[in-house]
Amino acid sequence: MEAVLILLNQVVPSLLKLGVDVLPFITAGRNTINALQGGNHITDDQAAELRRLTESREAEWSEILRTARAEG
Amino acid sequence: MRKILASFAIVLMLSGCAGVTSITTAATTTVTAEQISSAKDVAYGLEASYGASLSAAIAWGHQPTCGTYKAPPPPACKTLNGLNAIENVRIQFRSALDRLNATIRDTTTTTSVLTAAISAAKQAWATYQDVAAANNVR
Repeated sequence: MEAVLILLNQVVPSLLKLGVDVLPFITAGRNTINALQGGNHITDDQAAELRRLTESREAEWSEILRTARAEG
Repeated sequence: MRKILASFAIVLMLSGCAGVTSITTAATTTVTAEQISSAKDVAYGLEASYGASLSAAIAWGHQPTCGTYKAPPPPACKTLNGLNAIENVRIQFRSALDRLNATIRDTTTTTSVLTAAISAAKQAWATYQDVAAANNVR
């Protein structure tokens, strides 16, 4: 909950200013809030979908890192 | 003889009670379904926050390196040291979150192990955020 609130209140506004695509993660954050407020919990399918999203971001990040290291 | 048998019976009873006590203690440390669900929410929240923050790091990673500027570079420029620093804490956070997810899936998980895994993941996330902020990645 704490991490999600930080995401929605601090991280997201800064990212939106930069034009970064964070909509899937905003949705994920809202899913968590809604689940907690509704007394429900995140489903395994929702967790798996979110993990796939971050995996694609990790691949992109690794590529940036590889290029920067190669350029020195 | 009766006294000896009676004493032996008492000892047996006490041993039995001790056994029951230890089983009860072990049972209370086993996580409940509700605790597992709450831990999944924490892991999900961290994964969402991490994904969004990683998007910011990627945007920052596409900026020119600070050394390419002739005039004083803008605060948003990237450095190889910064990239490496973020990568180090990112790996630590990813490991901590993977461990938390593995702990959640482990059917023999105890309350203390689960609590420690949650705490470690939150700590690793705080460290990641500190390093990202120190490199102007927000």
